[in-house]
Amino acid sequence: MLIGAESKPFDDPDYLFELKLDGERCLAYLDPKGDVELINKRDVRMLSKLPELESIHRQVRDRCILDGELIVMVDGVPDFSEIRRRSLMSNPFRISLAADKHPACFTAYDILYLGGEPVVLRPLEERKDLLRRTVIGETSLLALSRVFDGHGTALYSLAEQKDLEGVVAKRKGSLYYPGKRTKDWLKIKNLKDDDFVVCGYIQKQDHLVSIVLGQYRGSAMLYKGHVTMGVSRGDFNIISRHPRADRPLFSSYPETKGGNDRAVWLLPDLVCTVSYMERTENGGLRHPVFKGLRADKTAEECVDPFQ
Amino acid sequence: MAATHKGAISFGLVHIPVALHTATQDNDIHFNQLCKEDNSRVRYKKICASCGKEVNSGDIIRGFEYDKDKYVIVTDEDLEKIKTEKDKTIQILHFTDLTSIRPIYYDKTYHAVPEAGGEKAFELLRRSMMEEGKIAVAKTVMGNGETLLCVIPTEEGVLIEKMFFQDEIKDIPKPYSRPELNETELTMAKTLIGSMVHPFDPSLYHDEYQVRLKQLIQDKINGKNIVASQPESGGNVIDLMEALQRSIEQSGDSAGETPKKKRAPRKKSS
Repeated sequence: MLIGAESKPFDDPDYLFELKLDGERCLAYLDPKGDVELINKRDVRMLSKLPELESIHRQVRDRCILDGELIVMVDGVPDFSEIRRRSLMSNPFRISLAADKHPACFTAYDILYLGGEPVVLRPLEERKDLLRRTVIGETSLLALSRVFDGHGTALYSLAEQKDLEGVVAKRKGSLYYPGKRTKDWLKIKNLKDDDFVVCGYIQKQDHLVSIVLGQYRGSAMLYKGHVTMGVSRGDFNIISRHPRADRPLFSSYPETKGGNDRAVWLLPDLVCTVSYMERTENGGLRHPVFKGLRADKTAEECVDPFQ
Repeated sequence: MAATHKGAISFGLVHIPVALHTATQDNDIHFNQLCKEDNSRVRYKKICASCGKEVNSGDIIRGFEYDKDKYVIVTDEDLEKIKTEKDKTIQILHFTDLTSIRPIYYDKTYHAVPEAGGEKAFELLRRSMMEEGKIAVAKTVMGNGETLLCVIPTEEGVLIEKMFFQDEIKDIPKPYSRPELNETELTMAKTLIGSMVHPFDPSLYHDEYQVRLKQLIQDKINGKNIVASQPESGGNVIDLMEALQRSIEQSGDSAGETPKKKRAPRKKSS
């Protein structure tokens, strides 16, 4: 189940509010008599990259599938760049060094299966209750997301003060629709960043590279401009080796602006995070900075937030 | 993590979309070269051997040395003309027994994973090969050249072995004489072998040099910051969330109560 829209901060007794943790979405398959399986949104098994989480199945009462966020805390707040770095590692020695220094945490906020039975058709509050009763004791490796009943604005201003990513509002009584995007879940973002599809790149002088960004609205790809600042050599190596497309996927875009006529177009399956100062009137990004590719999200999840 | 090769296994009239992921990895420690003076990274610069000037990638062409200091120049266009037609299909040529392929032919192993829509046909191929005790010999195009493969079903999935072509296999470089052996010697040797037979357990073996090297690096890291050899306290997500909870409960007189509805207008569609 995916967040369906963005909203301004609000209070509403019909909603539960939670912190939006800046990490990677993940499902945890836990069996107290068996083991742990962590699967991210791209169907990739994550446990080998986060071996410190190999015993969290001992923290649940019964076989279950939990939905949550993989995060790494640095200086008291979740650090997305750290979990991203981890999820791209493969050398076990480097992984163990990173795990010792900044251990990861699975923070659960929903439960989909319990004891082999699906619970997705139970209302949100009931699932939250089941989740609380299923997790035996919280640790720094398996934690439960705290729920703030109705107090959206107060939580948002705290998130703002602490520079956290933002807040998620979930409508009470709502059901869990696996894989679906619904407006029962709303995001209220503090950090000004978003995920975009890497649609192409433009090689400029002085080794500078601009990435052409896009986001989906329905099945149409919308042109979202360029980002040049912050594109790392490692990420560009991946981008420049990605399979190419014959032509851009946009239905309309400024064909001559900023070197678009010289762009190399790519098949739309790389996802990147871009931060910015603000959105312009027509949905463009002011002062965009490339924050890195992310391997945990699919291109289809990069949707225009203003639909 | 990203697929190395995407294509489709072609089996008769069936096309099974698959992605290949490398099945093995290098876990060795690799070092970076640093400048002795200030520990900065060392970078490579390509320079012209005759004039000493730095050359950029645009100024580099490719040549084949067919005689001392004599080169034939091969351009991108030349290569384009002769390259194998892009065919990402893994075309099954025939089936055979696993034992009919000598291990010397195996190069690199991949896991084949079915892509959306291919699961049924993939499982059908795996099960039927498994039950018949057969593997498939196949070919595909990887990079510019043709590649010989074999498709091996296992309990867990399907392995694809990249194989060497016959002309890439080298003979034993030196002949050696085979002295006559007598029965007693042979029986003794066989008895010794028999007493040392165990099932192969890969978990028993490690590269001990790499283990010591990792320990050495670990010790140096710890030695450098003896104070911080404990996990760096990044703070705990539970503490963070509980601190927020307390702040909200303490703030204002609405402590603990659910606030009244005060919806902000949704952001407008653009």
